[in-house]
Amino acid sequence: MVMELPKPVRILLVPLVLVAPELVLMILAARTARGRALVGRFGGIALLAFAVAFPFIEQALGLGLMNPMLRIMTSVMLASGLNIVVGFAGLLDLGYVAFWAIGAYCVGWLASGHFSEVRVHVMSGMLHAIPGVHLSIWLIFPIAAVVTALFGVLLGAPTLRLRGDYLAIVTLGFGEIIPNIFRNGDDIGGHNLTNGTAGISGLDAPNMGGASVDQALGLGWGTWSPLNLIPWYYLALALCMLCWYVSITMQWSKLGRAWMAIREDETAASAMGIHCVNAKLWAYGIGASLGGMAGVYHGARIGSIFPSSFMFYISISVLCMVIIGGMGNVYGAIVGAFVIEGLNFWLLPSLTTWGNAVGLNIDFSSWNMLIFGVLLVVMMLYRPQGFISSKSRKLEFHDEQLPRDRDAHPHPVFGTGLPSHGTSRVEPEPVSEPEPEPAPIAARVTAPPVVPPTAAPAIAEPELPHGRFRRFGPGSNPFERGPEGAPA
Amino acid sequence: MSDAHRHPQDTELLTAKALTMRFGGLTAVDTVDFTIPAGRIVSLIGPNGAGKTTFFNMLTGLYHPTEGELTFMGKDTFGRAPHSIAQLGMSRTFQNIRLFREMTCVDNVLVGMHTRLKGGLIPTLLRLPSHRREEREGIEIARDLMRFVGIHERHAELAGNLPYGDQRRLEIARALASRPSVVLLDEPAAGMNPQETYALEGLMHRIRDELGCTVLLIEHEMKLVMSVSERVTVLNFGKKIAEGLPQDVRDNPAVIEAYLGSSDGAVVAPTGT
Repeated sequence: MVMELPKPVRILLVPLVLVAPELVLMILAARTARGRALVGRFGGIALLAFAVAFPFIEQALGLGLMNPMLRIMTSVMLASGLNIVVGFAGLLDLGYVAFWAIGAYCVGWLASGHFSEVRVHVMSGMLHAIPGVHLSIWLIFPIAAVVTALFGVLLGAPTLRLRGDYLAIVTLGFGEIIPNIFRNGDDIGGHNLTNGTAGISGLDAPNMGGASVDQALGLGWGTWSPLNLIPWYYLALALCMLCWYVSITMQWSKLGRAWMAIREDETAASAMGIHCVNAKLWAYGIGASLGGMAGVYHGARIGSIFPSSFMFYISISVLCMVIIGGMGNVYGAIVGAFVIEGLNFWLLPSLTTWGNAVGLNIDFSSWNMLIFGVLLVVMMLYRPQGFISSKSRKLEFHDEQLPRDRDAHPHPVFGTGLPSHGTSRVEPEPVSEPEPEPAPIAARVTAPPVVPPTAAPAIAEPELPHGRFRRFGPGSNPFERGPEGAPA
Repeated sequence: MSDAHRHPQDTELLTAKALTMRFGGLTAVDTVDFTIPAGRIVSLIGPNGAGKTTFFNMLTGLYHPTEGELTFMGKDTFGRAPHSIAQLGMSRTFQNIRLFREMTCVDNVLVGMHTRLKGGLIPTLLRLPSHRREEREGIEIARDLMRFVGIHERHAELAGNLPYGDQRRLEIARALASRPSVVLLDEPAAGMNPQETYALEGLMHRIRDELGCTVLLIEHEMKLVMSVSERVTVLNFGKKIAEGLPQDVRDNPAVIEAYLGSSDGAVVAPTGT
């Protein structure tokens, strides 16, 4: 019955029936603290379940969304990689396409018959007699990640002293140099390195050990060919999740905070002991390696690599995704990729097709740059922080564990910055007791009598019962903690 | 509990000999000898443009001194990079507040803790228990430090959204987070009302007595300087013109002249307002 509906209607069914109720539930749930916790816990799982089920839904409804989806997912990887460089570390990189290209050429060199004078097979599952370098794609991913990370550091190193506009110009240069090397690399000292504009074609299908992946895992996905997209979809999903995981994990780590500190104020960051050069190189390296893995995926899926596909405008559109989505926010990069590539590979072609069906003879796809431009201008005017602002950070530490404001007898001027006095320090009783009502505001405000600060060390603090979180008082030092955060 | 005796009192944590900084033809700091004795609160004062902040910037490595010698914690730090000096245990605040404005307060303090955290790439990426414990403890210490300076109820706010006085306090918390041996406070009382300035005085004593952290202060607010300092150094036109106990410096004719100009008439002590 569903299949009788026209395709546009069927496509609309997906968000209406499957996504909209979920969104409405989430929005409703987000109105209470408990609901927010539930959304935080199960929202991701629901989204993942939808992502896993997507190929089957798509197939059942016959939407033809698979190809655009794979392009979108490639861009999600690229955007989250660039988000590390631009969003986290604040290094404007206009040549990000270079790392995509290097990743793609890695798979081109390591999984094809391009170097036909040698015969190297590692877990390729192919006849050993076939010439060329044939590595399993599962080996190429880590290799390409390392290679592109090295190139990221290599290209990043000369730009370390540059800031702002100058940095952008230099990276722009790199973004042009690398694809041009690939374009003209068919005769480097007599060696045909890249096969010039013809590119490298006939890439191996991914294998696992001797068997193809679906045989090994018994999934019944069929072969990995450019025509059978389901296995590629799951590979892309896994890679996207890897990019998301790396971004999220790095963001709230020592290095991620160092990146953001450099973005905010490099001088202050260095005064805090951050080695800015190293931190920036890590950002270039990690960002580049994610782009490189996206390149491996893209090259392997298309099955051939052409230098003409690594154009400058790709750097720009990936940058647009990061900016429109929300710089410095991982989810923003994902949303940005969906918006831009969804427009590019699904909405505009579909509009053209539908227009043709009703007699409109307009090629909307050729308008994409115009539409991006307008979108960017409108976004910068009305929502410059992007769809998902990096400011809307959810605090990850557990607020509910901390008795707030109970021990906080804020001095009207300096809070607890004044020498504290045992009298006003209300320690929460064990759980069984009903909570004592906090002292009236007036009492708390007037409580700390003004004592000359020089007398501070002399004030004897009554012995505190040691809770999970120690109170701060004279003679106690936040740095002196025993193991497991217990007071020393 | 207290760690006031991390360094024996009055050992010289930092020694500067004939430190000079020239910008082209201008000598901003001219052969200044300076020491920071452990466990003390010492101040650096002088009229506007006397070279105080330049001197600070040389000590912390932001400027490469033109000439002189600089020793910190027994190591030659002349011309070292700021991050490497910070790793030795020197930490600072800035005259014009330089917080990481688009990061939360807790994250600001955690950045200050940078030199103390291990945070290796592999433990981080694999979220090993050691990494998670370190992060958790870091957040607890950050919260304690924010409580120490009195802004704990604001941990989740973006630093840029804090009121001015709280930003100054957050900067102090951030500077203390690396558990420095010496903390350099560059005009912490600027823009504060008398009440806040008074509370700041208490805070500085607590920094020294409870955290065992030596304090070097640049300040224009004379009342604060005179009551909190155990030694005052006066710069004028890049030269050290006086050094000693607050009351001695206050009565020093050269200092009075520097602040008020030479007049043979009334002698007014620079006690400020």
